[in-house]
Amino acid sequence: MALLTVENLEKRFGGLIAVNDVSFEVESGEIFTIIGPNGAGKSTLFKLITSFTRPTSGRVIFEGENITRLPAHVVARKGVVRTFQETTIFKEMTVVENVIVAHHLRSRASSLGFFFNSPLARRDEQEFRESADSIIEILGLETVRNEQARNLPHGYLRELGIAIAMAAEPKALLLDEPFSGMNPEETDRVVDMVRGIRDRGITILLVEHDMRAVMRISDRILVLNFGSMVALGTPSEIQTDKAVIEAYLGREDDELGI
Amino acid sequence: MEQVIVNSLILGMNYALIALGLTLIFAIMNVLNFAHGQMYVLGGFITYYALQVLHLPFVVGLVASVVVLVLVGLLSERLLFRRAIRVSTREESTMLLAAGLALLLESLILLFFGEKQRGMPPIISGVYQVFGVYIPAGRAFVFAIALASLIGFVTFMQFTRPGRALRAIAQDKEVTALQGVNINRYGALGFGLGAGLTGLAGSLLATIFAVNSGLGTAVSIKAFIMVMLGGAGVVSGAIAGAFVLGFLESFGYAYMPGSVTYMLIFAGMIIFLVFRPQGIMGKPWG
Amino acid sequence: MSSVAKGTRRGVGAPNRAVSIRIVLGVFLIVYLIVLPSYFAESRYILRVITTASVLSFISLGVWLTFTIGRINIGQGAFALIGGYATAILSTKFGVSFWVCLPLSGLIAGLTGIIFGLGILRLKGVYFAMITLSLTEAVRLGFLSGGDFTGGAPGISNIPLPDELGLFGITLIPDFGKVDTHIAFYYLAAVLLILGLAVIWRISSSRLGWIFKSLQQDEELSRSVGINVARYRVMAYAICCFYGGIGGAFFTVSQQSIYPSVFGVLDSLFFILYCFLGGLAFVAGPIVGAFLLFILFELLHEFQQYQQLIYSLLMISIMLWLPNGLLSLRLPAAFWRSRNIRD
Ligand SMILES: Nc1ncnc2c1ncn2[C@@H]1O[C@H](COP(=O)(O)OP(=O)(O)OP(=O)(O)O)[C@@H](O)[C@H]1O
Ligand SMILES: [Mg+2]
Repeated sequence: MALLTVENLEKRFGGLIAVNDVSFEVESGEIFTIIGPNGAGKSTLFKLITSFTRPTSGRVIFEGENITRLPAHVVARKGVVRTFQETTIFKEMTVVENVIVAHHLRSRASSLGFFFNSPLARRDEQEFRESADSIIEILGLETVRNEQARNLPHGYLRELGIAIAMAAEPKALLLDEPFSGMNPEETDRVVDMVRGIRDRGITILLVEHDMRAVMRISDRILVLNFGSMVALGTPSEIQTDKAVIEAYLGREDDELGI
Repeated sequence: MEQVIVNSLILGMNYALIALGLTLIFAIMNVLNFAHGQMYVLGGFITYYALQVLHLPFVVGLVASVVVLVLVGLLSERLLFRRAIRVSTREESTMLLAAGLALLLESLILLFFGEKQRGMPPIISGVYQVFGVYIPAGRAFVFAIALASLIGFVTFMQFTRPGRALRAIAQDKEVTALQGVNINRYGALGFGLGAGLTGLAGSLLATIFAVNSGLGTAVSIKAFIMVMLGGAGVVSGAIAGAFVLGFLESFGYAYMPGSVTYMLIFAGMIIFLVFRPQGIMGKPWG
Repeated sequence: MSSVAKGTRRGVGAPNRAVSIRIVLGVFLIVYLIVLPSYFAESRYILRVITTASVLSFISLGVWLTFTIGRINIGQGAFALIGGYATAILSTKFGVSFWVCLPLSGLIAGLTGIIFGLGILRLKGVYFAMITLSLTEAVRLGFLSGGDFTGGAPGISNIPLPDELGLFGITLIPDFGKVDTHIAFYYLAAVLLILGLAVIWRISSSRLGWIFKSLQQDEELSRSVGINVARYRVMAYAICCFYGGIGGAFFTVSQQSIYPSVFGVLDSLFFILYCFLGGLAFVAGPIVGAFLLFILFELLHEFQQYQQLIYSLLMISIMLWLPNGLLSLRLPAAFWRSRNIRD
């Protein structure tokens, strides 16, 4: 059974149909990428899957459970966690504090427990710190560990965003343009990082414009245009798909990497 | 009934001037002007002083109110808000600064004009009768001036160069600054205009309702209600909010005690905003 | 493991600093609880000023907590009124003892806060500021038009002083009417403030504080990692309102009366001002701010009609030249450093 199933999802903003009758399945352990021109509805699709906005119609099924109308934080608890297209971090905290705070879902102590610093709360804190350190190590953020997030160089911001999401122990991690604004070397590093995350058993959904990276990393690719599905298949299938080339016609060729 | 409608139109027209001033300052400077009500009161007292103490014609009082308030607005922007916006990024600090300015104006008004309630006879005496409704000439006169000013203001914003620049700044400050528009100068203009508008309203309404030095906070709160109802930073919203409040207030006062009326208005507004936080005309945000 | 790393980063001074803080705190407590009340025992006016400043600080602590979730709350006056009327009505109409009224008033204010908060906390920034300000007015008008139940404009008077609180025949707190009332209220205020500060300090330094801080910085991001944003912001707001309610109950019983205009928009603004003057980054900020400004305001009494004028000029100066609060001044850091060197 597929890990995540999207059924006939539709989102309208007034007259505009941002996502139009989109259906697909994502298998466990996959890197599933969504591409499409600006405004195709990729980010909106991510927001729908993670319940940050309500769909006009359609369903999202995760591990056999309908999660369509659950509040966003409950969806996160089920294991579906997103990052943001724009840089989104807790600016007035250090890197390690960012990651520690994001461990919220793993805490076993109650609010009162935190208040009275119960043994459980202390154990939580200890675990969060250790786990945060290991996430920071995995993502290679040790050098900026105690840096104030707002002072971080641009290259680290995306990675911090991913580290925050990782802290929530996702089963499916939705990354919205994690390579944007990076030079090729940085991209290569983050591509490896994303692979590493997948190898730890986390299913990846990816939105990305960098075709070179997309073609290398993806198991399957979904192409959206004006909210509708244009094609769905492996990288090699997509590169030769007529409809895709048509949808991108008039755009720079290198964008598809062919 | 018709009488109440006429009253609410007159009220709404003047409230629109107050709300426009507040919304303009908010849109241009991102400052919530807590001193707005005190500026209104100052406008009212200047007109009162010109007419009743110096025995000058009404036009002089009206012009004096507007001119003084424009100056007050310009000075506050130049001496206070410009610096506060520069040294602090928190919006609370300009808010508290405006509250400080409100206290300052209120105590100055108290020192100069005393604490007595001040009223004056209508500018024009007589009563018109239109379709069986009695309209005191003084009120019709106030309505006409307010309407003319409103049209003047909207025309200014719509068709003149500075007006267009102001609207552009309200839309997007950074982009407008990049296009070479001097934001500081327009901040001052916005603040001056905003204060002038509320001074004008104060001057006009003083001829109907009288003023006293303690009125400021209540007027500020009314201005906030209008701007919230209509949608903050939006010209059409300010006008819509003003007429809605004008109607609610006139009808409420006609059938209920004043405090109950306003309590219901507040309750209604809070519920309304929970479901439509951007107000009647505002754009959805977030 | 990481706490060790933190310690080394801050340098060897860290443990000394903790000790110094304890010493300073101890000195403060001795002065506050023993020196001041015995020195000014005969000077009721000064006692009353300190008492009032203590409770104003207490109420402002709540407002400070709503700052930590990123909301400008100009509605605290409303909850002080709610708490005040709760105590007034319960004690005069139902004969409930003050020692029951006090926590009950806090709870009633807190519950009201939850109900309002569920709706209005969806608003942010200036919008939240304006709507809470409206709330202050709405609640005042509500009590004004409450008929016999709330006593209209003159409100409710002849509220009894706190009675004796005993347990199994042992007097825990004496009847306020039978001891020096001013001293009794002084200590009640002092205990409230110390407890109130301890609670807020605990909240802000525990994980709850970090969650609140995360809400302040980005609610969407908090939501994305599974934090129940609505729940925690309502929690912070309800605690704030609870503080307001307790403070209101205190003023009601110490004045032995309440009327709708005791807490208005200006008071709500002043609570914010206190937090600001002290410094929003510091738990003690509201206390420093409230004591300084309130005592200053009392001193300005001398100037009579110029009191408000001078006060407003001061307020403006603070916002222009001290936008980050008194405690943000580098003075304390220098103090700690010099100590460490001597050690
Ligand atoms: N909250 C909203 N209200 C109205 N329209 C919206 C909203 N969010 C997105 N849209 C519109 O929906 C369409 C899809 O937007 P979306 O952000 O999903 O595109 P995208 O594929 O992520 O584009 P990009 O590559 O630029 O990130 C766009 O036309 C956008 O303007
Ligand atoms: Mg996008």
